[in-house]
Amino acid sequence: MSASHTSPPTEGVSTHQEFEQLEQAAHWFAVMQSGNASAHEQQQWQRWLAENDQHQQAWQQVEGICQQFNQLPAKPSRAALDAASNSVINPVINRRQAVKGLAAAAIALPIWQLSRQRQWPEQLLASHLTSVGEIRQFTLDDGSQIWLNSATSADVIYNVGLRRIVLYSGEIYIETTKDTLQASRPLVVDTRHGRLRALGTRFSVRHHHENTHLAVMESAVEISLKNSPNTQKHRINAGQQVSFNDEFIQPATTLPAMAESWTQGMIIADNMRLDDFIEQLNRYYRGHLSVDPSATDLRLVGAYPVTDIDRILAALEQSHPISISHTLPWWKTIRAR
Amino acid sequence: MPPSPSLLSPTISQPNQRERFARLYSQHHGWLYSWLYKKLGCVQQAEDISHDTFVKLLKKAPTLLREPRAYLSTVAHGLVVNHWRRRDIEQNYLAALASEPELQACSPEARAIVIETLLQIDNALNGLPSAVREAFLLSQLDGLSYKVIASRLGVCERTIKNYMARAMLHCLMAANDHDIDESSR
Repeated sequence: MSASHTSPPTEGVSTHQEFEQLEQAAHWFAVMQSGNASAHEQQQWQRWLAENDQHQQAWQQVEGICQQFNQLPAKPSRAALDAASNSVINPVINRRQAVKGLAAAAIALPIWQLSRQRQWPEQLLASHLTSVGEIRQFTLDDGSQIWLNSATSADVIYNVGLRRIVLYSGEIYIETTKDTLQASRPLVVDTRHGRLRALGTRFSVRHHHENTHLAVMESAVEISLKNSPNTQKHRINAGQQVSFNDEFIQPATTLPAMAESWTQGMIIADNMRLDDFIEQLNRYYRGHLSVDPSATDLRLVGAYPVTDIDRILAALEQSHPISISHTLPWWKTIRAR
Repeated sequence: MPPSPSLLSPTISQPNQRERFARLYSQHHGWLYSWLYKKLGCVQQAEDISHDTFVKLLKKAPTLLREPRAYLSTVAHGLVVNHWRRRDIEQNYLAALASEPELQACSPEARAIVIETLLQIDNALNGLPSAVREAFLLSQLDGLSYKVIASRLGVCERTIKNYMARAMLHCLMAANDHDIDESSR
């Protein structure tokens, strides 16, 4: 372990040994909190934990501190803490504030550079990304499986008290497992519109700019809206789907069968309108597909692999009364024949 | 609030220590109170803080004070600073709540707990370099990943890991100090 910059305390923590244990606990916190601890590190941490009671007590304190943070409302807490550290209370703090000002100037540059890019930096730097047309599956640290649909960005932030997935764009499908840690941590998905808490389950979440769409395949998921006038939680059960924005939740509707078929790279159409079908395809297409009003009502049945869209279009042209015109190299329009 | 006699029992066992404390209290309490009143301009707060100063003194039970007033005013000054920080935190928290309608419905008790927690956190992180403090809050409050924090602060992920360990150690030490304070109260 690297040497700490903090000198041993003169009071409070009574012995050097105790200080060392806290230092080790803090080290393991930083490793586990990173969300990418290797299997070897996890084993070492478990071994350290099992070594003696003092280690376990120190670790419990770490968990206690993390829980304190988890219970705080982020935005107002941040405002209060920032204001406290900036306030002019006495000369010591004045001096510290001057140093802080310099540090802030040094920090400001990279943020400014990032903000000139079109996407949010969080989105670009997300730990899990797919490009257009790509579908990927990951196994998370606790054994849960996550699938990312086309053009999706998400962060997976597992820490000591919470399994948290932040969805910035696109769609994810999750199959949860029981947490590997002794105390089961809640698993939540955050979008800009609210927080979804998995109650041991399979579900998918799609992020649109103006709302979030949730589909529950098994068990249930609880929604907390970000700006709801009350703190009420909405429970969505298996076989239901629902859309919500940060303030309102729409009535739940019945989930069509095989809604998660995209995880297998398929779109399942069961009497699906052509314009709905093309909207689905567009998510996987580098370019633009449009449907002329003359063809929107056409109905499709079948399983279509999204990996080869040009072949799907050619097949549709053969089997249905439609023609496809190439307006521009990347723009195709479908019309009734 | 004047100190109750029970305060004298738990930590001061030896009779002469108890006497010494009683003498210290009677000799300096009035002075400390008026020193605080001049600083704070409020009877209630001056009473509270002078009381807390003596409680703190009692717990540390220093055997001999050469400059009791210098010692008392140092301790009291720390408590005054704390008091102002609490007020700052409370005011700013309530101001920020105005834009978070769903949180306004919280009970006053829940709000008081949040403010107390924030004060503890602020105290625990006090004295850390601003980048360390910032990294820790971005992770624990805002839930950002090390990668994002690293890019925001313009350092590498490894540095963020070191920052996190350092900030957590600070919190752990503050928590232990605090626990010891509470248990001997």
